[in-house]
Amino acid sequence: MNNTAFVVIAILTLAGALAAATLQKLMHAALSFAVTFVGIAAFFFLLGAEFVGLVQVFVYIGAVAVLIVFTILLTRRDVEKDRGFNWSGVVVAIAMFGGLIWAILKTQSLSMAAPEIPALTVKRIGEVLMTSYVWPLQCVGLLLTAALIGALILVMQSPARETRALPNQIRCAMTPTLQLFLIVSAALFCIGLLAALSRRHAIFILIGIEIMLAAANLNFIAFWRFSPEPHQPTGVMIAIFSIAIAAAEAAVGLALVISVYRHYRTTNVDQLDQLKG
Amino acid sequence: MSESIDQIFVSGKQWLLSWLTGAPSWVIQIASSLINIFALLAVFLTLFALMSVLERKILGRIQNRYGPNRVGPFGLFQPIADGIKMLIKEDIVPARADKIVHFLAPVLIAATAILALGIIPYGRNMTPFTIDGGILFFFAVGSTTELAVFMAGWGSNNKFSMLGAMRAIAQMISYELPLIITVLPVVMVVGSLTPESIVAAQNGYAFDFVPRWFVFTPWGAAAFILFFVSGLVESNRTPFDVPEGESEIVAGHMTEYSGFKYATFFMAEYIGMFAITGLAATLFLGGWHAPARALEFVPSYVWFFAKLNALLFVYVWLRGTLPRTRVDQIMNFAWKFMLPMAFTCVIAAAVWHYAGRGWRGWLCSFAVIAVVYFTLSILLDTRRKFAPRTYRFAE
Repeated sequence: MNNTAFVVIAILTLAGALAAATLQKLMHAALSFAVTFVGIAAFFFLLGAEFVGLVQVFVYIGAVAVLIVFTILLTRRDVEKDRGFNWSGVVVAIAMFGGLIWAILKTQSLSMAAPEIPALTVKRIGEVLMTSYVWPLQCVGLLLTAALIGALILVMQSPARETRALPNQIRCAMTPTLQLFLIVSAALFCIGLLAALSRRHAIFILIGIEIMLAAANLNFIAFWRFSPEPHQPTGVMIAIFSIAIAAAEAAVGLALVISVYRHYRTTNVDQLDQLKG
Repeated sequence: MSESIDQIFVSGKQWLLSWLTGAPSWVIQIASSLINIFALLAVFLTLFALMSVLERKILGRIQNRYGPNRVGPFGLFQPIADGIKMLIKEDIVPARADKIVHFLAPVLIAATAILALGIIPYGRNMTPFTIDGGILFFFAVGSTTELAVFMAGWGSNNKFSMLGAMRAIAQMISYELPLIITVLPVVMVVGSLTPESIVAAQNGYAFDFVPRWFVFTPWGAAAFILFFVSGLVESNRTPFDVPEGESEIVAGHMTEYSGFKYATFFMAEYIGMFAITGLAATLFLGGWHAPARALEFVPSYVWFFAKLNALLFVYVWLRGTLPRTRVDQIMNFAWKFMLPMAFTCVIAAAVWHYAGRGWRGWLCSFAVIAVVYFTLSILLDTRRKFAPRTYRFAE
């Protein structure tokens, strides 16, 4: 059951990511990006971090994906033009993927099954967030506020959104090993890298960076789930904070794209080589 | 006796599942989910059909006319006639449309609307889909609607569709903030994100006759009104239906849809409305709890659907009463009034909690809300805003 779920989700996620990185039409890429993030949220569910999965859907589909399509709209005149594709990015991504796979397969300790762990309750995450992680929480709040104001100043229309961290519970006992999760996450990371290196459109590069960040999050959750001492929800916390920061990053990044587009009438990063406005 | 009637649907499902005894557990799990899904769809599609004709009839009464009364007794078969009409209409896809996106938009919008229904407790032991963090699930799924609306607007390749989608997304994002923040006080007070425990926390009666629903506390009443208005915007209903304002942008993101795809959008709008009113009833109106101890013999699901329908009636009533607002008015209202008031509800709930949840807490939190409300209305200069309008015309 869980193996089937793993395979289905892995195919969905990787196909979505690959489509996001390679599709010609920007709008289709943005929608495939949304599919990828649904897939990653499903992985979080599979790993027992339901709360992070819900936050993932909420932030990435509800906020980041909508932000991206909005930016595509506002820079519409530039979208349909044909862009260059940098093939050296493909080489780098494949080399990176090979290296990562080699490292993962060589490490014997990674091919272990998930330990049975007690449920990570709703209250637990809330308590941890409000005690051990209260300063990071405040910092993220500050960061999001700063991002909100920054994005507002950049384009004089605000896109940032804040998500409050709240709880979840572990249920499924699962069979895929840590190794499999790391392979999927490595593949995802390399697809993100491919998009970031090869595409010349600023929004594509941003999508690539978001996919890379999500791959890192998947690793954090997987390591948390498979760790022998699962009582410290550190991985979950890091994933929650990183989602919040990624949202801020997307907001500011897209605001930058819009303000650059207004000035230069282009979103091709190769043409943005002037230091003088 | 009343106990068994109350649990009739739960025991009916158990009876159906008892046919499967001996099957592997995953088969039973799937069968149980399928029963839930079929029940949910049957109930809410019937409610959708009824609602579509009742809305027209109520609107007719409000506007001093009869409304549909030709098909069947009292015009009750109107939805069937409408359905047949929609099904046999030609399905037109614009030549320059982005075909895949154009096709997927109604599918996605209906799917997300139906998913959101899953977490609501419809009666005692009657939650189709129990998940830890159900409230968050509701909003996570709901936020996907924005993407679907956008897909409809973009895929149609029509400027009216695009403008309508832009308007819809702008107002949905703006009102999602107050919508979620008004849920926070309830979550804070209950200490849980599961709808069942929120309903359970509203059990019992204060002074033995006022139900302990959150709507009877000052913060709860304020949060309920804010939630209701935000829900009105989220489901694109009058007076906030600028995304489909027919005098300005034809039908907004639905302009290029016809036949059954249009019907799907229409259905998604209604299902979304049911979901948001259902959540409002769960969060603030005590869910399936009876309003008085003497009435507790009535089954729990009857109370839930009575509350749901009462709220739906208010939706229709507002539609028949209020004119459409302007886009800038909606935005100003969201960011300048709704959002500060929503945050005030959180603070008022905290005050209520720490002042002992009794009459003292009641007065203190009432004072907090009243002070902020009047300060806001002075700051926003409402007296001048609501004065007779002066018109400026474009040069």
